[in-house]
Amino acid sequence: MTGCVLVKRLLVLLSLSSLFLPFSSASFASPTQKKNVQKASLQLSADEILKRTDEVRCPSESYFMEVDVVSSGSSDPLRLEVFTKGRDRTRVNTLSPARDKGRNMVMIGQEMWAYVPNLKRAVRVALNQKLSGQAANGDVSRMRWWGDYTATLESEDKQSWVLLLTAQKKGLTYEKIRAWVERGSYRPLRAEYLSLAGMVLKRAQFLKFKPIAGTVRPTEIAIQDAKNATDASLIRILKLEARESSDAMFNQNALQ
Amino acid sequence: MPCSIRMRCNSFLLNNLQMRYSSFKAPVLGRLSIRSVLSALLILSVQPVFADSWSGAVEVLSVGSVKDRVLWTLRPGVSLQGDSSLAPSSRWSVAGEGRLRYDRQLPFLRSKSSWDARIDRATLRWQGESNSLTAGLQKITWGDFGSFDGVDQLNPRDLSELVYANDELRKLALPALNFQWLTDNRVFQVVMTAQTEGSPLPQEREGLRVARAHSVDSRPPLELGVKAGGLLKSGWDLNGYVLSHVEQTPQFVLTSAPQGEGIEAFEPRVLTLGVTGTQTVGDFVVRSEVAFHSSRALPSFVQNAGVVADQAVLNLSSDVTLFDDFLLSSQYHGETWLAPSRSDFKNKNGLVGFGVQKPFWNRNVETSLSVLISPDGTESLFSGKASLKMMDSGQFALEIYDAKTSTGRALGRRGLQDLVVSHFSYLF
Repeated sequence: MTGCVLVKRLLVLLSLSSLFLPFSSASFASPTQKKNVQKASLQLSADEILKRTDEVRCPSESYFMEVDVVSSGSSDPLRLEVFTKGRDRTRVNTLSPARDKGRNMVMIGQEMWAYVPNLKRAVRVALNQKLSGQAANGDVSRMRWWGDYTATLESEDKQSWVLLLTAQKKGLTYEKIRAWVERGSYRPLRAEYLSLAGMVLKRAQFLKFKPIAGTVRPTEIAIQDAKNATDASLIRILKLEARESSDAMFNQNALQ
Repeated sequence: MPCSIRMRCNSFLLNNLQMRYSSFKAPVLGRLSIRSVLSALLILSVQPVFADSWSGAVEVLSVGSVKDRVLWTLRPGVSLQGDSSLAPSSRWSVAGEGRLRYDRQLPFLRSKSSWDARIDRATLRWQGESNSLTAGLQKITWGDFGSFDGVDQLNPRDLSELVYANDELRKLALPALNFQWLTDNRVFQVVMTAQTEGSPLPQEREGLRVARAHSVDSRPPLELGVKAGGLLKSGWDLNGYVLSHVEQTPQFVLTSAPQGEGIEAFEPRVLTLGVTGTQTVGDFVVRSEVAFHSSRALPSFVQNAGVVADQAVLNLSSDVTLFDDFLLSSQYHGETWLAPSRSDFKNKNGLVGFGVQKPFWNRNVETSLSVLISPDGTESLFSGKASLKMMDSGQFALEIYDAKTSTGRALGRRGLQDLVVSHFSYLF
């Protein structure tokens, strides 16, 4: 199946899945689970919900991840390996396609460098710069929200909380995020990436929850342009595990 | 300067590229043929079997110049690179990279065709927790602005290589030790390279003997570079360096001697001190480099027979890049010769301009455009590139370079002429 066909099918799937979102897994929770959900809603702050959501998305402070990024308009997926150390350091190695191999990146705090093999030099880039299609550099290198964003509970219903996240720092991937989090499981369901003025720039869906790295996590993130729904990217997590990496990897001078 | 000599000197510079191309290949290949062909073939054949990861490319490069006279060449070739750990989980690894190309030139430029084989890398590497040591044949990249400020001068150059915009292709690997200590956003690097004969030179051109101004034997045995720096809390990435080297891109000067006129290649010993800094300001990235060169041969047009004028130079390069749907950059490259003014020589020179690129990567079509011009209009550099990605790994690129210079300097980018380069590669 080619990347384009896959993306188109996913877009149809996304459209359909959003119709049934209110009937997602929380709807089928046991009575005991429902009670726990109600309790949690009363007790937890928006910040705590966000922290637990991050724990669902990422296994630990330091982890390794292998991902494919499939974008509409691009014939073959971009395969990346992602190493993180602590909250603020990430190394992204491009494995394929062959023409992009070696275009590796390092993120330190909100700063990011990308290595350009032709020039044999690392150039400074931005987290919000497009990596491929609708996926930005920060979508794979800086997946955690807690600590970067201030969360406020915008609304809630029986199935989910709606959090409005506002960037605490400059240079983050997005200025604001509206995130739908499933009650009880703290699974991220979908998100809207917003401009500072609140305009929706992109929409994301978190899909295919599977047991991986010790718990059930989303293994696919579909991101589509808010204005042009056919312009979309799918980040598919192939491998995810807690792993410590050496300090030297997370230095822009090691990009070669 | 006598008028005839000056005219010939300028003419020589204008035709510098063609001269290099039409007469450099034979001595290069003559010296490298046995060792490099065998070694490159060994790398090409052995790596896919033993390397942990390897990749390669089949490519066809064609280059044409439409100024003064037509020059056209076609180079089909194959390149391969790979690396491998010596044992599972070992800190030791080896890496190799080589290319083999068939260089077809039109008969009126040179009567024979030849193979061009080269080893670009053959290294043994030790990787520790926060430090690494790489030993062997390698290319070292130094400084942030490439050929504009003359800092990246540790490796000799293949002056016959026409793809001038990518200076990396012109570099010739040489024996070196490269030590890096990297930790917590800081870097300390020491590089030592063995001194070699330098960039290969032609024996003669249009009846004029070409010779080095200084004996190869008088070169120091080692070149040395030390760099230290780090990322500050303010977001500035600052690095400082000291480099002791022989300039590897020679400056050609027409000279008179008792036995007749000749051409001398000046490759002065240089101590370079530099500082680089980058910072993110909103959506912009600011990058600057200031480099002091203790010596550099004066541009040929101000020299006459018997005069060797090495002088100190201060270079400043800076660009500001906006990352959006388009990648937009404004650039400045300036040089100041720290010598008393001469009536026929501007002490200060600069190029300002802009570049546009879209998109940055992983798209099927990439385009870029760069224009640089000196404020007085005497020098300009233009480059345009469009590349089309085909199939899974195929890529076709068309590049156009154009340089107009009345001084022959163009800030160290010596030899650039009007060029049309097409490059097809299939990566595997």
